[in-house]
Amino acid sequence: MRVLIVDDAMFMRRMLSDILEKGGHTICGEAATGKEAVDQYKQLKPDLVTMDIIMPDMSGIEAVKEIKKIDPRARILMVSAMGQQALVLEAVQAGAVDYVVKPFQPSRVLESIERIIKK
Amino acid sequence: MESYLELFISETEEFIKNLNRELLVLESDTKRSSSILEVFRAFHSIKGMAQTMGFDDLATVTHRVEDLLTPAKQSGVIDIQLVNFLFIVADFLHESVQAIRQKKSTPPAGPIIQTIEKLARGEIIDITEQGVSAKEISEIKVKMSKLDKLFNLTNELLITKSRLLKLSHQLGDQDIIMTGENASRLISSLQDEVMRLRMMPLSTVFEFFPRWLRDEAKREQKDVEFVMTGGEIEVDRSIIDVLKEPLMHLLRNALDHGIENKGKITLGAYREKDRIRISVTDNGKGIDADEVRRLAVERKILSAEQARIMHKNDVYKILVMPNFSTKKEVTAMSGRGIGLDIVNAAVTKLGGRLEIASEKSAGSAFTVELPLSLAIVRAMVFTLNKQRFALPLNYVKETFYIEEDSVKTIFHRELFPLRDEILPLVRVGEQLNGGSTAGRKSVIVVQYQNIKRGFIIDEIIDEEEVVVKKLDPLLPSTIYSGSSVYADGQPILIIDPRGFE
Repeated sequence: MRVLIVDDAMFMRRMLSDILEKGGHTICGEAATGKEAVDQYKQLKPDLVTMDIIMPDMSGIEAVKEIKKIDPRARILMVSAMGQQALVLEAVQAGAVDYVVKPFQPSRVLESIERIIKK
Repeated sequence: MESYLELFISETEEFIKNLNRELLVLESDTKRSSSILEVFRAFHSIKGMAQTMGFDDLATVTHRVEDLLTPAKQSGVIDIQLVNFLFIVADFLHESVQAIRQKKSTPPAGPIIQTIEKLARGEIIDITEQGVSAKEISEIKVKMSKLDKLFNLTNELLITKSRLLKLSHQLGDQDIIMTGENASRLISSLQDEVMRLRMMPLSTVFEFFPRWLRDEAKREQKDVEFVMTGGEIEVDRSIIDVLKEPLMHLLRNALDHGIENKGKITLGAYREKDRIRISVTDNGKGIDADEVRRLAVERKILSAEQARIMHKNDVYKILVMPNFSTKKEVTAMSGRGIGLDIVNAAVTKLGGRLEIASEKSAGSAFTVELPLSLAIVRAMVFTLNKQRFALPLNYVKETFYIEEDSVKTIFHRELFPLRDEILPLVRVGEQLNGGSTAGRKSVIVVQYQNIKRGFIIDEIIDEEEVVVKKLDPLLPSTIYSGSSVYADGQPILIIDPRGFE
């Protein structure tokens, strides 16, 4: 799977990309803001997006909505720190397929991706 | 996790910087909703990272602050009391990250959390009192001699560790092996920790220079702007102790000969992995490479042809040669001769390097590159006559295999044609333990200053980080620089290549 990683912290992007690469996926791009995520999505057409919620200039929720407008079949996995459950729900309503809560277990992230692939 | 730690630290510090910037905005305008969001985001992102890294105190504090910020985030107005408190939380985060960086224990989160709870209940808090309790980091002074003793003891422990591991594997009992491995891991962390205790910031040496240089400049009636950077970088005490002299030399050169009547001198340090680079830079007239070439030919150090084709950067290396730099005329001319050979010798002795760069009428830069610690050295381990020796890696240029019949003998000297140069060979075995086992030999090409030698040895085993133990001062040696303990618990001698002829 070609994955676009969206998170405002490089720390999180690095950790996610390590986990995903170990799980046999390819990282096709990284974005640090909601706007970047939307731009990158247009360009890269990834198979999957991992999306943070709290980010500068455009939140993850809005980015999910924008990406869904561009591509209704986009597959987006929300990855968010604890305490934002309400927002995660909103994201799922906006079209995200699943969510993982930080701090995450590598296995939990990969399982979630497996489920998404099977859907 | 360790590999993420650096990233965690640097990124958290970045968020703390943003946090402070936005808090300053909010201090004068509590209705700036974009800043409230940025503050929220900083805490939120730090929380996510701290949780992932398992820094529970940081995670708890940032999580609680996030809750505290929710009303402000929704209303777009923040209470000034909360802003003031968040400055303290920012300090707490900063101190915690510093402590994490230095592998110390983080400051207690209790007082901060208590205040958060008070604020959550809507109580008025006393900021000044909070400010004091948030800074409850206790530091104690310890005598260096005690640290050294601790350091030596942990080194002894390392030997015991290797033995323990070996014995436990010989016994083959799973429980004993597990316990042995646990103990060895703990001993390694303990040693790491003790090494860190010995680290001191460069500022301990640096702080002497501004005043000294000011006085010297005044005496020479020069107008000097002096800038220092990197004083916060920590290096082992063994390096700190010997750094002052060479740096003073370089600064004096920059003042005396680098700049003319008015100029700028910079002393800057930065880290490059396990090395440190300290540069003395001036914006003076620079060194005239052609003049150095001319004098090198005059003094028969170079032939006219060699001087002509020599690269500029190599030309500057001539400056550190003892037979060149002490010449009076050089000092008067290029002005960069004084004591550079002394500096170079001192730096080389520490396992470092002196680099010189210069641009005509733009200035010069003298850079000293050193290991962060003298107590631990990366070394190449090899065998001779079935005995193992270690050679510090900073001397090693390259290695290759050699056949006995490819060695040429000219005037009783053994040589080997290596590419376009002739490499003098040294049978180190004759000086170390009387010989070598027969068979295929290896050569370690050793370089120090401008001298290159091929050391003939039996076999290269591997590269290893070794803890250097100084030799007994009553038993001075020119061919050994210290001893260490190899991974299997056996002692190993560290050789000093400069002692061989």
